[in-house]
Amino acid sequence: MTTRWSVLGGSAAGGAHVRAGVSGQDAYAVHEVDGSLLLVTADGAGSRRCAATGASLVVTLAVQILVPLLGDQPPTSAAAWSGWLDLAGERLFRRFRRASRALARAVGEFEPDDLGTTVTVVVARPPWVAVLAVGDGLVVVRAADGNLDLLLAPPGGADRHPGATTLLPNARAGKQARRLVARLPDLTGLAVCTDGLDSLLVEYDGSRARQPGAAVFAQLFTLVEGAETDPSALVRLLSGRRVGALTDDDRTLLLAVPR
Amino acid sequence: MNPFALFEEDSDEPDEIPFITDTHRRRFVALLIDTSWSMAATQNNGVRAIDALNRELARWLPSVRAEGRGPLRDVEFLVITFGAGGVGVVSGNGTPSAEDDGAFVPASRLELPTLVAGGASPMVAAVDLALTLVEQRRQHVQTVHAQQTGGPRLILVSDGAPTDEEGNPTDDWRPLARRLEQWRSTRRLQLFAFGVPGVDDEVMRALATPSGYFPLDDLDLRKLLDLILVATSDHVDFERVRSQVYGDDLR
Repeated sequence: MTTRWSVLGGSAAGGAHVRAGVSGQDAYAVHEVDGSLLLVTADGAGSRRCAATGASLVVTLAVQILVPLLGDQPPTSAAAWSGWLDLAGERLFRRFRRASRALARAVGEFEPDDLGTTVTVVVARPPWVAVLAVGDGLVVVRAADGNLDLLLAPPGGADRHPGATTLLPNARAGKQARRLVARLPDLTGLAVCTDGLDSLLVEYDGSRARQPGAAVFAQLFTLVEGAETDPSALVRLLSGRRVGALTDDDRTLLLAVPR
Repeated sequence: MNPFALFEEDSDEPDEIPFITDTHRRRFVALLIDTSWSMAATQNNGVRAIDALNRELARWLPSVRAEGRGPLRDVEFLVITFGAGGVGVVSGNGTPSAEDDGAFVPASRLELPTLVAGGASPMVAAVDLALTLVEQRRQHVQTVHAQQTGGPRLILVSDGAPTDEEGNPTDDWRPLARRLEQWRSTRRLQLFAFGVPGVDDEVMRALATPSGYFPLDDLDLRKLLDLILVATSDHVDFERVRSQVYGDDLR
């Protein structure tokens, strides 16, 4: 049976960008194709001049490249999904590098690395969830019993500098991309977010992400589970006073539940 | 001006969501304040600069503590003065210790004593002490608390030129400038330097680089403290502070 999804997505600029009167540097896309759900988030690096363009570009390319790849013949085993991720990553990263070089040449005032961005791609096709990630995105899954798991945790370690992460279009970043395949027959919820929200949504033990916050995700998933979902609720939440008082970073969150 | 005031407007947000408010990161902000004799000698509208500074600090500290429960909750302050009594730590327990409950104090608990002006301007020794303590604190937080630490930030405020402890002019700032350059490239140091009228521009530019130095036209201490709060916030760069200082009048 083909799974249908309810999805809510939102993004808001961080305080520094709001105060400077510029837009945020995150981007996201949601696409459903024959029961497969594609969720993509990207976080343009604040230290790079054209990061917002880089984030938008990688998200656009991800949809353009991965939707046809999903439509052909979706994988049906862990090994097949793993191969699919390898192929998807190779095509996406190569296209992004080529596009960055072409853009830099055409505009002439910046280097390809000025488009530096993270990217997190999640494909959900029950019972499978596949993740491809460069950088410090976050993926949380919820099981039927309400248990939450950090499928993709932020890179930890006390010696890690907050805000310092691997970025596309650097070729090394593509090679260091994280690829995960999970078989989750009782998946009841999926959340993807950029690092601007990780300290608000994840409990830490020292510098190590321990688990998703149960209370906060219980409430967040209700936003997408209601009979009449308010499409603006998430954006209002992310751009609201309470989130703004807790993080100065750009933040993007996608919530999905099977219908 | 409160730089976070934009978030004060009412908005129709969804019901209360119990976000996690603990932090797993620490950022160290060392504030270095010149309290040499010129701060006692300089007067503005008949008020000594040091008295005006103490008055403005009393107004400023509650807003820092309030931000320390929100966007600045991962910030630990170290405050060092250089002037009366030489170089001294005035934050936390007032001792040059990087241990817990030593010189570093969370923004939410920042308090300062009344500052006293007088004496020489041992700026170089003050910056040296800040670098030493910040590095010791980074190691302590990483090894004892296993928490992530962001690049340190130094905020230097001066209205004069560096001297040794006896008040003699010194060139010690030249090797310090080279050391700071190494810190910038290897330890992600950010140094914001604010020059109050009377300051030695050459020294401040050398220490902070031209992009990190912000000469001020007048002794507006309220504006200066608000700029320090901006320079303390996360995700801020020199251009952001520059536009705050000079508006469209770019320098």
